[in-house]
Amino acid sequence: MQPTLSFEIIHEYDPGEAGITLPVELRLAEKSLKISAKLDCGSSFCIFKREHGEELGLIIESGTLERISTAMGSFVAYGHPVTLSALGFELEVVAYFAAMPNFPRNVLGRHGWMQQLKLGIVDYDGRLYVGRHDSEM
Amino acid sequence: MLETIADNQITITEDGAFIPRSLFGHDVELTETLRQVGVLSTMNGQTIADPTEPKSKPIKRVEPIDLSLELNWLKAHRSEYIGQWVALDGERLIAHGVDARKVYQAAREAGLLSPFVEQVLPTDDLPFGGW
Repeated sequence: MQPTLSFEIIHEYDPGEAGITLPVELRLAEKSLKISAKLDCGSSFCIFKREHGEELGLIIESGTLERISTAMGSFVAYGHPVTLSALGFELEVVAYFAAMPNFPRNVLGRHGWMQQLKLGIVDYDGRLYVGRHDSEM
Repeated sequence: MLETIADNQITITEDGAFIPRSLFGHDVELTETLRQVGVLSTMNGQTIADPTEPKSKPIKRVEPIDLSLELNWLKAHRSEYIGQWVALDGERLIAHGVDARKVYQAAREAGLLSPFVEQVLPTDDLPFGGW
């Protein structure tokens, strides 16, 4: 029997762009903001620029400390619970904000976000298929 | 020791912490404030488990966010604003500058409840290598 998957949302992106860029909204209490973030299956966490966390009213260093390794070294980020909306799904996640200002990018990673969803990528067509992780296969 | 965190809010004494009823349910703000004054301790540099982190994470369907106009604007104008933060409302440039806080402030003052603010970086022209 051939395995099949079903999804609830199709998001189209430009396959000619660097990476897969997704529109994201972050919210904390009464404050919200929109950003673009790269989909990154290789990232353990959802990581955002420090300045976005500060705009949400967070004291960045009061969060959960994580030292995050990359192919080129490591950096420090702090986790804070926020509401994250992307691709038609809203979740409560612990988002990590880089300690250093002017961090180069925002990424959507596995813990809290990707693990809660079911994703299918047809990069040739620039199509991302999205559903809840526990929705009917 | 008597420490009051802002007016009419949390009071720390030698006996403990007093949290007024008006703050009940404001879990995020409470946790942030209690961390700042050391009520929530850390062990080996790691903050203890966050009580505000949801045990089960409910997923809600919402309207997908459309930033296509903003991202198209960035593509067309990237070279003009490298190194700056830009606030956009559709194809309209609301504010720009090197200080993110000022750009966000200008966007809020322009009436944007959930502004799109992006730092324009030259490295975006390079292929994205992930982590």
